Amino acid sequence: MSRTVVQFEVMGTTLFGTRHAPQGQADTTACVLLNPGPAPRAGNSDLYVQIADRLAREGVQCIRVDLPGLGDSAGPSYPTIDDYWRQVQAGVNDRTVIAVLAQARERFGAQRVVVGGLCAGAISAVRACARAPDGIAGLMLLEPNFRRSAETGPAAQADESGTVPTGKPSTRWCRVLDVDSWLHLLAGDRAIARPFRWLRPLIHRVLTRRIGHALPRDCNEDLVVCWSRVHALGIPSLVVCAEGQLSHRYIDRILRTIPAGRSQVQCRVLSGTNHILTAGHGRRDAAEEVARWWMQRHGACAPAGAASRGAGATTVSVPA
Amino acid sequence: MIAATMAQGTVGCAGYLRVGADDVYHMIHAPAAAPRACVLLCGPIGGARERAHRTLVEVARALVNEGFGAMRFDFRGMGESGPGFERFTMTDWRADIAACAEHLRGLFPDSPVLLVGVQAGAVLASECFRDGVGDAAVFASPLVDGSAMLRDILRRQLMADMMAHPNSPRVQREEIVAALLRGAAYNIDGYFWTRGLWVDAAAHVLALPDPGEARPWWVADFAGLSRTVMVADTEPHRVSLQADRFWEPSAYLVPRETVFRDFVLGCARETAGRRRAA
Repeated sequence: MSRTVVQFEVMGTTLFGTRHAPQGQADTTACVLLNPGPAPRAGNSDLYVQIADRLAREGVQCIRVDLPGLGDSAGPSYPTIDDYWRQVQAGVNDRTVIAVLAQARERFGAQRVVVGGLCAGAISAVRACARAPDGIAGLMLLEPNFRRSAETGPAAQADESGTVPTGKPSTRWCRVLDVDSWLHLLAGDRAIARPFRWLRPLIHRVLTRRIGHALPRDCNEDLVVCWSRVHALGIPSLVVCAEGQLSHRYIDRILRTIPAGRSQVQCRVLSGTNHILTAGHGRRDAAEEVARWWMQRHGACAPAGAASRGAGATTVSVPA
Repeated sequence: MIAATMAQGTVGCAGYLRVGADDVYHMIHAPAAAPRACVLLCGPIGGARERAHRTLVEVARALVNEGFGAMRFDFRGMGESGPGFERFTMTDWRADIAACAEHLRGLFPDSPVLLVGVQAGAVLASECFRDGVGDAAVFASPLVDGSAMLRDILRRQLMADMMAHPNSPRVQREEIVAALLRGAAYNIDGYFWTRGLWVDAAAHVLALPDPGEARPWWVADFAGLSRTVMVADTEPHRVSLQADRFWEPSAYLVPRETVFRDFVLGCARETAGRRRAA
């Protein structure tokens, strides 16, 4: 297999990506991976590199892309994780992802693509697929976060320039005064939550009791609607969750609300790892699950080839 | 062997540089005209690499806007030069810096090269600088040596593990070190450390230049971290920055201020100025 740097021009912005091509004939379905949160396209601790290499060994070409403002790509950087998170939920990447998928199909000889990512990457994948499902063969959702940011709210949407108004102080105060926000904070992975780990089972029980067994009250309903639209079109999804993480707690309840799509979704739960799949053998296990799902869905492709990265290295223009 | 060359007429390139049997992913940011000086950005390793990534992109862009060239790269086994972290040691990563500096020199033979190392990158850049690589150097928040760096990362990892899994049996740092020395691999911050890395790290000591060093160099200490130990004669080379430690976990994706960026720009200007004066 070979690895090359690729470039996309989308709405006047230069995006960088890396293409992992298998040795010999590639499958007609390619895989496109979107940034895991605000991390570069290699993924947290190179998770995406492992997945892409694993798929390429199975004869599948895989393209990892840096979206605008992330990794090596052009565009202004996001100041904080919250800023990025809020904008992703409001659809800041939707049009870019749709354009990237179209270019990937056209340039790399793929008839269809499977698109996915970890956390925020999964959100962008679902939203783009719901808006432009043509040519999409599946969704690969790693630790998708279906929780809505309090500051985003259902009304906040990206404007024509792709930006979302920043959270107003009043909504921030709402979050500070919201019991569920505090419970989620204390049950999460942030530094502030760590001293309260021993209370975690209790916090989960209280959260479950408060939220009930329907769609979680703070669930990103827009995203669930997008995902059900995708299911209705018969597009399959792989969901990989880390045991005990938020996506693991939400996924069953979300699927219960969209029973028609349940058969389209394969859920895999990885134990002994964290949200970004870097702990334990999370990366290796995730790559294996992805490859297994792919083989089940699309069957075996070209035989595994010896690695020869660099042979296909390319030179591309960089905006100054 | 250089696997990627710069195409005529383009303003920069991304590609792979052959080092040994592997490839180093790099990106060169270059101004339209010949650069006044070139800056080789040597980032931290492991999980800090991805946290520092966008800040170094911003620094590179700021340099280009001022007429400087900049080169960023991923050490072998990490990021776009990964996976396979467990196959490499600090000695390999030092070779990466030397190869990138040579590549940069080959592309812009008339421009002086400023090495900018951050944390682990600073220790390795200091060794390269001592060996004659580069015309100037910045050592940002350098550590005493490779062992101290790994021990610090290990300590942070154990604290995080302890808080994430309070009911799990405690593992002491020395137990992990003993396991590493026996040949076991240990997942730290998402990367598997090996005996080879641990043993090799001890051999990499921050090599601050002698007081008589003619080439310009700076040590940048960041607020909130211990000051770098320096001999009295070299104190004028120390700069204390009130800046965000952009390689550490934080809610901020890029620093809230431009202190580090402006400092690197200032060093690049001085590097270019000295060359012109000479």
